[in-house]
Amino acid sequence: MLSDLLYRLKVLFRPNAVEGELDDELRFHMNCLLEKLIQSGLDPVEAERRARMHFGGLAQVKEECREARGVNFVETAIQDLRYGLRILAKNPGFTAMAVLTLALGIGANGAIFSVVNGVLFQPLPFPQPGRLVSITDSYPQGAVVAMRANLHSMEVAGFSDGQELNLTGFGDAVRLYGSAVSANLFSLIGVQPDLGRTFLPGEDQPGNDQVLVLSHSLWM
Amino acid sequence: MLLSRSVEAKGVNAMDVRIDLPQGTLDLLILKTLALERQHGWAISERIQQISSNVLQIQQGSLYPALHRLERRGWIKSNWDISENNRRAKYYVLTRAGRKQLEAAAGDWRKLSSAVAQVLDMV
Repeated sequence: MLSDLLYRLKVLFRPNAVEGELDDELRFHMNCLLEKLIQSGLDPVEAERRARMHFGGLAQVKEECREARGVNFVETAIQDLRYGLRILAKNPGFTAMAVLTLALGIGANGAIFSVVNGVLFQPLPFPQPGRLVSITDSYPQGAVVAMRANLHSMEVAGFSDGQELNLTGFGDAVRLYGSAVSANLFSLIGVQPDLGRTFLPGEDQPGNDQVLVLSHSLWM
Repeated sequence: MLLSRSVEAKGVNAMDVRIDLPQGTLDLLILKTLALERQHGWAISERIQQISSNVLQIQQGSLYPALHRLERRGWIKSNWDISENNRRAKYYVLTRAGRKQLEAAAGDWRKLSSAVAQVLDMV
């Protein structure tokens, strides 16, 4: 494993050294072959011709050696990358258009995903969000009481549409947004207040309902 | 992996018959040659040709890719040295992993060839 890695690194980072070694190695072989042919009685010209014929395509041998080293893939990828960069540098208009298209595409995707992620993919910030069902329709207040009395397979809590309220008495009046809920809403969704307490049973009954829970942002 | 099998007749290359060696056989031959002593590529091909009585003549086009492949696998190592005829040559040495590989591959080869021979010899 280690020798393989070192070998590949050498080929990648010192390609000329490795290529030069390959040249030298093949030339040595060629010379040995030549000597052998001359010793066998051939004249040098004929020996050279024979040796070249015997050696076959030098370029092909080298190519196969490169493939055997198993780094051709990386070399080719780097060459392709360089070629791509050269072509892009030659055509600045096209490059700008391509970069712009990519930037817009990636940007739009990112923006849409961050919205969809928050709305659809992230679970609700309550314990057991999968067991919560929301029915949005308009019911009289008594409907919550009736449902609670008749539905035994689930807990029922009600909440009104939000409405605007005025907060006065602390300097300038502030416009707030709030909603009336049944007393068991907080215990149903399993949320605890940071300070104080949420509603006690019965605190949604008329005359007993002078209590409220402030949002974190209003408190701050 | 191509080896050429040449038939010499009256000092002239009468014909070259190329035969395909089974996959891995050339690697086995190279490892075995290097198990005896370190060699450069030329000496490896000469040695194999001599020992096989000129039946196995390895083409450079097969030999050098095989050597590089074996080196990559860590079965052989190479270093440059001065050859017997005073030239710089790249010598290959068998590594410990190469020796193990040689033993395993030689065993496989003997089993395979004796099994094939048995089948061919049946009457």
